[in-house]
Amino acid sequence: MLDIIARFANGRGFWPAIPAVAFLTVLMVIPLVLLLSFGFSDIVVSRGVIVSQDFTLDHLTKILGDRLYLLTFQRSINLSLSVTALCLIFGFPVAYLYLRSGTFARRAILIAVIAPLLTSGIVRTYAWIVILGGQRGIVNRALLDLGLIEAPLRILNTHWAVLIGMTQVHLPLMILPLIAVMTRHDKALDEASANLGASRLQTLRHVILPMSVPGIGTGATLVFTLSYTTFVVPQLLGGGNYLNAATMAFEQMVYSLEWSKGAVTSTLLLVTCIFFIGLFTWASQTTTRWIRQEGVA
Amino acid sequence: MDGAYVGLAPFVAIDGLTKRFGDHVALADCALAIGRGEIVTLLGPSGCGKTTLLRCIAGFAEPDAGRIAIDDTDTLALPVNRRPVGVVFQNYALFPHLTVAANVGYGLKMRGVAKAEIDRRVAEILALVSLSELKDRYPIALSGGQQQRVAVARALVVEPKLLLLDEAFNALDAKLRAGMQAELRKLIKRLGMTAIFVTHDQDEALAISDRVAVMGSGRIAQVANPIDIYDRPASPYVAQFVGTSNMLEARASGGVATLPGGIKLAAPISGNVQVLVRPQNFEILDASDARAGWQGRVTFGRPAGAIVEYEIDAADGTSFKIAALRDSPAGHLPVGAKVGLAVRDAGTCVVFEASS
Ligand SMILES: Nc1ncnc2c1ncn2[C@@H]1O[C@H](COP(=O)(O)OP(=O)(O)OP(=O)(O)O)[C@@H](O)[C@H]1O
Ligand SMILES: [Mg+2]
Repeated sequence: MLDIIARFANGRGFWPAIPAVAFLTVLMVIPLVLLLSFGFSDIVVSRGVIVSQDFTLDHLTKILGDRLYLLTFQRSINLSLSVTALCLIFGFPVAYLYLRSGTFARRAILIAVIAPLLTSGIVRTYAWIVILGGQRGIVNRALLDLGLIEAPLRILNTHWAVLIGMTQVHLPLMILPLIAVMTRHDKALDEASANLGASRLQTLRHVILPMSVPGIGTGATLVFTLSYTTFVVPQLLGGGNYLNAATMAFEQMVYSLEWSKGAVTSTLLLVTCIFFIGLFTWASQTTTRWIRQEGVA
Repeated sequence: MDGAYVGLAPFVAIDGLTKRFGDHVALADCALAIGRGEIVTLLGPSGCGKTTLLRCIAGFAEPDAGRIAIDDTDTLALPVNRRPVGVVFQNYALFPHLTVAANVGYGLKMRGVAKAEIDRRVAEILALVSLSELKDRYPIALSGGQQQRVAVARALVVEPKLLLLDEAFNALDAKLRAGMQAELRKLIKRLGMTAIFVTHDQDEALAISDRVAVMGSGRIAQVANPIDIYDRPASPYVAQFVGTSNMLEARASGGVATLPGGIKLAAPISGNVQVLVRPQNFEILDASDARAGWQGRVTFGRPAGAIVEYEIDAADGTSFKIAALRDSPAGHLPVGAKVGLAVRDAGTCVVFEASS
């Protein structure tokens, strides 16, 4: 016993991880396993209590054969990959600006990036309704007043609204890991690069970008995971027309009370999400290795 | 001027260079002329502006006034990436994501040199710094000395007209440092390269350079060859910064200054003067010896290789730093021993006007 306490205290091996593991087991793993088990069984619920649960693969096979699910998951993946790409396209320049800025501007950028995180995602999503919404939305009013369009554009309650809203809501999660990389970036490397004849653009391309790959990997993983699993933004900005996998699982669980179907959808969501996280990690490592081997940088 | 650059138009001409950071003047009207193929060291205490001067030459900092010309070309007009200047950074600044070969080839690649040509020139320069076997390593897997050689190779391969090295030996241990200094000097001389080294280590400055520029608070105090800097410092500041020195007070009149013990020195000025006497220019005598100009007591003794360094306090409170050969009669004085001191050679003393 003393031995265990001693090992615990000196922080070696897996002992220090025990509290976290115990916590997660009780509060996450067990409920998750229970939930997922619904997908592999017929359950009978009476007054909110499960009265019988019999093993079956029916739900799984039915869903795997259903084209609706295939389309929904495809839509989810497309959307999340697009959001990830947009976040990278908008986020990297901000991080680069951060790198090139002085102390004061850096602080301003950091505040601008973090401030939205202090507001709930739901509130930020509602803001997009005001901006994009029908005839009275800011965008449409401006375009109409400028005479650029004749009739209001239909953006809200479409795929585009979801894409725009989700990109804005998740952008900080791409920028923050990139800023973390930039903070650690050694300015002497840029000076060395310039001294060796590189223009600013060449330095960006050959020094800063390759060294940001780990940050891009982290940011992409965060943005993808959140975009893939959120049902708030699609529900609010998609106006109920827009069905992605997460929304589907939510509706099956909460509205139609098809717990077994919902559990299968959740399982698929979890498995595919883990697959993509693995893919991003692999891509980030491979890119790093490739840059090194080929000297492409 | 003694030890100044003599010759045709200097290869590197720095004139009136001034750089301010807010109220702080980091460089005040610096002038320096360097001949082709010369190695000059900027020597000075921490914060005197050595790095700032290099950064102005390389283009990382913009001077407020002044002129820099390299090979008759106005360098300040050129952007950083067009200046004919190679820099070896203090911590080498090697690209961590690139191999040794890619680090060295970086400059050629940025200039659009063909791949085969890059490979050839990189192989050539790596052979020159004996790093050929390590070309596929990453910087993190190199020792300090190897990293330094990569940094030097990377700067040299693009054939700059001027090589700048900022405290290039700081990260190396003393023994390796001496070896690398000699090696680098040979390499630079063989390539006929012109170079400016920055250091605050006077041994390094004396070992590596043709001429030394001693800096103090943003100014260049003296430029001369290492021997003249030591033997004929232009000011008490230089005298005290380079080597160990004893500054003695004396009075001069009629072109002659007289030190205790009857030593007479030629003095170009009259009134109160300061006289520089180096530690090895004292003779340690018996306390009763008539030739002694001072009587004192040994307060400290420290063997340093072939010599012993003593601190000897005279009766009037003056403290002397004295060096004696260890195998001479004065080589084993105990602390507290009473001795007499005399100046050996008036010719190597230097007389300065006393600072008021
Ligand atoms: N970017 C800067 N902003 C403000 N002051 C600076 C800046 N860079 C240098 N200084 C100041 O200018 C002076 C000269 O600095 P510099 O780095 O040239 O010294 P140095 O001679 O290289 O010293 P060291 O031997 O310690 O490297 C110092 O007092 C320093 O504080
Ligand atoms: Mg410095």
